[in-house]
Amino acid sequence: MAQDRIELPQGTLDLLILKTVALGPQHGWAISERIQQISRDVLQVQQGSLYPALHRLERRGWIKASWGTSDNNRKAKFYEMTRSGRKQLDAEAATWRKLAVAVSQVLETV
Amino acid sequence: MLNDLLFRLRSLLRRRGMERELDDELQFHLAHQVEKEIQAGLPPAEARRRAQIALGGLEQTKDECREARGTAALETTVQDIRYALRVLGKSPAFTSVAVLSLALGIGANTAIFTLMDALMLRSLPVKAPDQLYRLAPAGQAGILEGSNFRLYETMRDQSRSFSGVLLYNPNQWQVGLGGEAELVYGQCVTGNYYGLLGVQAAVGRTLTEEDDRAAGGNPVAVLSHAYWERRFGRDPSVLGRTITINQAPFTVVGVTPPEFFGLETGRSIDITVPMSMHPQVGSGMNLKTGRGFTGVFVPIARLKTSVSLDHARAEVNILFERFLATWMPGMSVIARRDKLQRCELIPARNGLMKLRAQFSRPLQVLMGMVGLVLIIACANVANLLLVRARARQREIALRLAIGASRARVVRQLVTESILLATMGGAIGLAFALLGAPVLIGFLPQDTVPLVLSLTPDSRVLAFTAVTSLLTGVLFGLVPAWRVTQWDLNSALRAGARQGAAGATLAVRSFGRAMVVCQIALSLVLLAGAVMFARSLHNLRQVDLGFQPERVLLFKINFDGSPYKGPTIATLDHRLLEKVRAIPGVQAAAFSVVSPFDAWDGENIFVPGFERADGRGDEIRANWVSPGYLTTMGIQLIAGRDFSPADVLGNQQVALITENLARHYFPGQNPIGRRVGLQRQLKAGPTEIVGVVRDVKFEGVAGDSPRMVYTPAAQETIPHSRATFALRSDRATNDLAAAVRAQVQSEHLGIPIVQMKTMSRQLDESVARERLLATLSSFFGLLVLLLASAGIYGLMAYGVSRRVNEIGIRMALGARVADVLWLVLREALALVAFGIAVGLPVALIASQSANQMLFRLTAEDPATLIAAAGILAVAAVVAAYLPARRAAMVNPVTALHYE
Repeated sequence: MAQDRIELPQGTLDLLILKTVALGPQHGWAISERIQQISRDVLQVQQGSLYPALHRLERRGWIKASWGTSDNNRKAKFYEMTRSGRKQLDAEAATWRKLAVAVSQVLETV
Repeated sequence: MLNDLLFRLRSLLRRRGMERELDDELQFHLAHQVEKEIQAGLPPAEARRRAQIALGGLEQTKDECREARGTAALETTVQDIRYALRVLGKSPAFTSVAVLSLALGIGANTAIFTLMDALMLRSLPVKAPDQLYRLAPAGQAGILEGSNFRLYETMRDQSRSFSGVLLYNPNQWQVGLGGEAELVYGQCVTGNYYGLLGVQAAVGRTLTEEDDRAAGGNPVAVLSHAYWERRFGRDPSVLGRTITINQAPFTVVGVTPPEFFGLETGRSIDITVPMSMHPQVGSGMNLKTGRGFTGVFVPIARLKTSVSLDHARAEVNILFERFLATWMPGMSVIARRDKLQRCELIPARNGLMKLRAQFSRPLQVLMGMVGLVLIIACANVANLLLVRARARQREIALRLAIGASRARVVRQLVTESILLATMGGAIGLAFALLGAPVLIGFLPQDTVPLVLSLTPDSRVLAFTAVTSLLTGVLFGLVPAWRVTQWDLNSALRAGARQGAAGATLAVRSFGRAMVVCQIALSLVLLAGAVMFARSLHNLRQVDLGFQPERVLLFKINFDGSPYKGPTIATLDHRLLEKVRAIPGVQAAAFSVVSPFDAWDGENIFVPGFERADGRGDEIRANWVSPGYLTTMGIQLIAGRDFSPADVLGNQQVALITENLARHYFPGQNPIGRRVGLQRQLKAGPTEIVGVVRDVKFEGVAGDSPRMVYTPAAQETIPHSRATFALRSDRATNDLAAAVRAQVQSEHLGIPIVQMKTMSRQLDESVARERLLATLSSFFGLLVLLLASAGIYGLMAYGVSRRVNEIGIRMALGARVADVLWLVLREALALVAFGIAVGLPVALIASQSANQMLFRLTAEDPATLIAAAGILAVAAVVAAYLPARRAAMVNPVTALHYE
């Protein structure tokens, strides 16, 4: 099982966070859980690198943070998508798809 | 980008809140993770351990978050600054000495730069000032001040290089708003003036082409903002008001913006009227037929963006030839060669200014000098910093030892020095603001005071900021670098007092290098100061041929007044009687011109000296009232002075100067000889009745001109301007008040202008030399002080480090004189070394001033010897105090001293 997990390529964490937040406001722990669920535990997200990434995205203005109450009634910091974040997600997703197609093409032809 | 910056700033400002939130957020995460692991069946302690590992170290993650928020860099800086403030606050003596040194250095730089900026760098507040050029005829005699109307017309109508050509004619007018008339700077301008410059009215309208069409048909005037404020209290109902200019009524139609003063730097034009009104306000000259080149018509052209300057210059000179052929056919070869050889395009971007040519070089020299002052101040502060760093060695070593990187420590130290420089810069700016008006006081004043804006503009502020920052880095970096290089271990092992011997050596060798550098640069500056002071002294020693002390001058100008012709002569004489009667006035007279203010030309015809072209020889002339020689203190060598009988109708008489007598009547007695004077030719020849001493007239430095004096009472058409001179022992202000009262009692409605002492007029004629000598002496004193402080500091430090050694020497029998000599010898060696280094630099640097010296060369050895002597004396004085302290050392105490 552990051998099947792959390290996240550079720069893709931002994309995954954006995609996750696009579904609705989430707190940090939920985001990390979500990413692992969706990727069926294949992707290994370093929890340590999640928070700096969140703060970086907030600084860029792609997501914004607000304090709210979590399911179990605790104070939690929720992140939600901003308009420029959505644009960024679209752009990055498109780039990513193109790259993926190109790479697999190369792999198949060789 | 902006969002990013705001975010960082916000994060920084609510730093505490942010820290708490970050903590809450991560704790929340951990709680969830622990819960998850417990649910998976782990015991709580193990669950907590795993959760923490998964997050990868709480503090490290926090650090990365802070980094991600972009506050880390700013935070460190804020930390550094806080720490630096605390450290500086702990040693107020060091901080104030360092800040004061820097404030003096930066202040001097800013003050000189402010003046330079006001005189040379500020652009006119008009549209695209870079495109503006003055069209100026020039020849071997230099560039002509003015032009003439036909030349302007030729350029305006025929040139293709310019988008437009305007003409302005500045003058002084008697302006009345009801009541006493006031002398005001005004100008006549062509209708395209404001349009071409792109200047909009602040109130009402400016002048247009329409206003300039019908000759004498548009009596309208535009006021400057300053005049509107001064005379009308910014009353908007000024539009439509009538003012009289030289007796002619004009209607006010507008006010220009506050920043616009006309096209001349330093001279504020207060009233502007259309050129079509020139006959109404002018001095009766017909500008369309006037062929002469007077100083008052100035054409300004705006170069098209598509045309190169070279192309425009070529075209202008073709048109200039055409103009000469059409309008100046009888021009003499000499006039052509000296004055009308070509037409130049002179950039008018910064405004036109006569003073600029005279003062730009001295200002550059002064700028170089204040640069030296700053470097010397920096050297002092660098020394102080290093000595201090030596004392803080343990603190620094400790920081390095517990893992601070060298860069981090250097950064902390440089932050301290930049902070010092910033404080120095702020105080220096205040010094400069106080000092700049004093500098303006050195410049010669015209009838109306020089208007120079000295409020620091963005350029001056940027200059000060950059200078401060650079100095901070300059004097901070080297000591910081050195101090972090010292041996850590020995620093930590050693006691607080003793420290590493290597460090002490390093401090002292660095200190010596700084002091040698200071001495060398001080020598350069002092040599300059001595040189300029000697030059001014030489000027002061010149025999003027008259006695300028205790003479008060004032002018009466009848231009534009209702008084004409003989009435003016009568009034001048009546005013003379009035002021002569003032108690305490020993002598009084009036004349057309006065020394160092203006001169008047005349052509003389002497039998035996006829010229081929039939013209007379050009000489200088002055029309004077009786009593002129006594008032000015001019010695009569032979013959007689003018008498009250020398009036119109009687034999025309003249006094001549010795040099004129020598030239035309060598070895003969000129008294009783007859000559022709151009302006009196119609009334027959003039008889020489006396010979007087030569006087300096146009400047102290030049030769005395050949001159002739004639009685004002024999003038057929009296001059409209007269300069009165009073010799009296009374205090100037007191006498000036009495003169005003006497003149006003005549109710002529004519203002008194340019009331000043002859000494002041003399000072103004050597303004450049005074500026250079006074300021360079001041800066010389400043660097002497700074360099002395440097030597004192180094020696005092050396003595404090060598107490032990001195004690041993004394115990072994050294006398007081030996110990004194021990310290003084070191100081003298440094000075000698510094002088040796500085000497060639001083010689090279002083070359740049060679043209500004009077009866002195830059290489004069006496200058350098004096400068070196002054430095040596200052060094001995500065080193004497520490030397004495060394000599007072009690050997017993010294040997215990650890």
